[in-house]
Amino acid sequence: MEQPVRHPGGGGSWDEVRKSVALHGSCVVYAAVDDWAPADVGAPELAADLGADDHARLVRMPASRNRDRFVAARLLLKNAAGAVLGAPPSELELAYKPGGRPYLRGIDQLEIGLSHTEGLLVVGLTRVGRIGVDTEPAGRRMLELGTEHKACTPYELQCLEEVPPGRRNRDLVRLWTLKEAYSKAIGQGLRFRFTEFGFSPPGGPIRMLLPDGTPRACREWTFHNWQVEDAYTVSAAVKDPGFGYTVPPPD
Amino acid sequence: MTTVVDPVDSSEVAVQERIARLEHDFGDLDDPGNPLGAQQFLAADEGQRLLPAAERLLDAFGLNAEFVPVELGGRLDRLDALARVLRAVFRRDAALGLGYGLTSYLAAVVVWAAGTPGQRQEAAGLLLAQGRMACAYPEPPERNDFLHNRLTAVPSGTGYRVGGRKEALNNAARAGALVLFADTPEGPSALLAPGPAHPDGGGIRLLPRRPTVGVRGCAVQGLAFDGGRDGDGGGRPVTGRLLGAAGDGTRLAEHVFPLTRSAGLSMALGCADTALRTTTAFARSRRQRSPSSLHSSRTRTALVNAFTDLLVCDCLSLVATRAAHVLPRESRTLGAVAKYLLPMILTETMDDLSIVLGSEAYATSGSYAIFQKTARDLPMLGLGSAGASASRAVLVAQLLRLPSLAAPAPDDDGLARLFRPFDAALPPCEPWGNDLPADRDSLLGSLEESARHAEGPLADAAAVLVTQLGVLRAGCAELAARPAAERLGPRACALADRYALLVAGAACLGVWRHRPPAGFLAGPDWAATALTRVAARLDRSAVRMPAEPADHLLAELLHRFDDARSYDLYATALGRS
Repeated sequence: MEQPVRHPGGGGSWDEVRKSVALHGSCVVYAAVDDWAPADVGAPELAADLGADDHARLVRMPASRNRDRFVAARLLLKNAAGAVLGAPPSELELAYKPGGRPYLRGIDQLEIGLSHTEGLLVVGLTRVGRIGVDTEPAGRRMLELGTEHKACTPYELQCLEEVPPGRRNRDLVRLWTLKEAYSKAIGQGLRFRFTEFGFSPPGGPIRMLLPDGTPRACREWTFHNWQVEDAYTVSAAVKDPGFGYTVPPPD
Repeated sequence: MTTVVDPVDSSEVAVQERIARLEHDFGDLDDPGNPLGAQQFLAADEGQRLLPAAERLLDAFGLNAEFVPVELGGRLDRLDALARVLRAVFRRDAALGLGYGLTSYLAAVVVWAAGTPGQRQEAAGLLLAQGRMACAYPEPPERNDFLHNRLTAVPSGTGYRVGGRKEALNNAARAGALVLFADTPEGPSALLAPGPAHPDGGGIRLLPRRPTVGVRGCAVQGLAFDGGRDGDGGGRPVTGRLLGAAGDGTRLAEHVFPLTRSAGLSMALGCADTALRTTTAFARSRRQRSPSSLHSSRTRTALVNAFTDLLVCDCLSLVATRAAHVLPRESRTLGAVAKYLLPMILTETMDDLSIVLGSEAYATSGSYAIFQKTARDLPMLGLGSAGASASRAVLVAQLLRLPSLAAPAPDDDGLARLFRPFDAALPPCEPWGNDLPADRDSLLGSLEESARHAEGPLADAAAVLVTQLGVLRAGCAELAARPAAERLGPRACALADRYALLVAGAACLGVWRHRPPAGFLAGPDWAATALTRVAARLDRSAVRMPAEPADHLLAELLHRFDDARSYDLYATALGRS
């Protein structure tokens, strides 16, 4: 998969997103909350775009930054998915599996993922299998708060100790978002125990590792990690069960 | 004095005896000393081959007879029974089930549906002599490598000369006969042709074997019909004979899909069964403080949910396979529901179980390694989204018909036969019975009536289903009112999802309503949890899992684990050491 695509909001073009999905099977899109938060939450077309369930949730929420993120994330997701599927967002039904994983009801040819932090929204789209995305501020303090012991395998702890202190927190945020992305791709409600699977250190393709650092045989998964806007860490986990999507899609 | 044996009962007894024999001969999957145990199947998978000892066992059992109709000398008379027998194989190894079994069935069923008496005899003779068949189905719009089909055929003498390539076909090298859907001057046609393992198949060139992520023991390779192994055009071209009428291939494929989808996916429940048993073994072995022990409510919930989902899938499989006998006009829709829902639910079940297993979910050795193999194998059985768009088109057609369909027929015993797992009293399967579109929707039609019988712990979830039925009907009316060009978008897909879930709910309610007088299925617990799981997929906030039935289901799950019984509607006794 290529670098995440930034979307400017509103009437911006979706060509790059469509192209990326067509070429690579998957795409990660990000945008600013402010570019997608509607000026008027009472607008009738907003109810149609969000769908009945999410609109009912919106109506119950007091005006807040949280509410802005809630609406903006869903609008970005439905617009991006709609652009790939060639349908207006109001035609898509965003639903949640019993375990909490979001999906587009009835659309098994496009899987989705969703994450947001502070002012950033991230959406993952894939035609090949499953996708999970996660984002955190790159500078979010995690080190020495106990996070590393809850989130890292013995091998990852050892690797962290070997990097210069100034880079350690950033590497931990990277690992955390990778693990969140993978967890979201497979479940969401139930969470994989973060100390039972790990990832290779920065540099080279990202591989999943067993707790002792040996590579895990998992050809069906690919993992990605990026820095966006110099401020956020974004990770994605994509599962391709391996049916060989090498035949180019019809034009 | 002579004893009169009811032929219907004797048929069910014979099915159970065959399953018991297979289970006994395979023995205990978890016994490290068993030459047909998990370690051996894992090693065969690693070596990308089928386990020879297992193939010999199936030869001795005569597994191929399960795919051959009784009137042609085989044992096939009920689709649900076929799937149950094959589950014993899929419980051990999906590659064996697919490579030894299902692949031949997928080809043979086309011959049973459209072949001349001579072609039927020929295919039956091949299978009963332990031969293999393979089928190149028409290419669906999803177009992945496995489904790519660029075969052509032109009239030549009494048959059709085949040209072109099929890129990936399971069992290609071993097939004594091939069923080929090829482009002919009359349009897509089905042909019966000699395979590479037949003396007349020399004109077929085998392409290199293709590695797969799952079912690695299956030899998947391409075929090129270009003169073959003698080189320089020395091989004779391969000639096939028409199955059915020229140009009728698309229609023929549509007619056999209900027979292949429903039975094939029902067999795959054997894989999920092993995954659940492996996860249960893991959870039981954990120390009390471990988050994945049975003392953790999250683990208990995950196991109960998985068991429940397998029961939902089995109710749907039961209805979809028996519909080919009882409701032929609706079998296409019900086959499409199974094709849509089973791969989706089973994939999610594997994901949830993998979370209980933690790092053991990807262990390639040790006591639980069969889990990661099953997790790789299962997606191959539904072939991803392949066929999904065709299934969805079938479902959308039914959605558009729904507003104008007649009210459900009054409760008749014919419909009840759809829901009885151990009942052999079925009319013969009529592959062409689905030629006419459905004139009713028996499952949705049964839902409200069945819901009236849903009492106690079933009542809440059944009420949600009835409410959701109203939502679906309103959605269908809105869809049908749209211009034709706007009926096939994502909105229709979302409605198709709701429709499929309601059919699954109706299947569970039907099985419960027509339940046997005693045993596990007679109690309300399984049905209460099953309906709740289905209802939650329709409206996540509408209903909570009832605590007491969930506890009872956990007790049943552990009891079946100790007693070595299958996690489906049948509680089949499994092979033990």
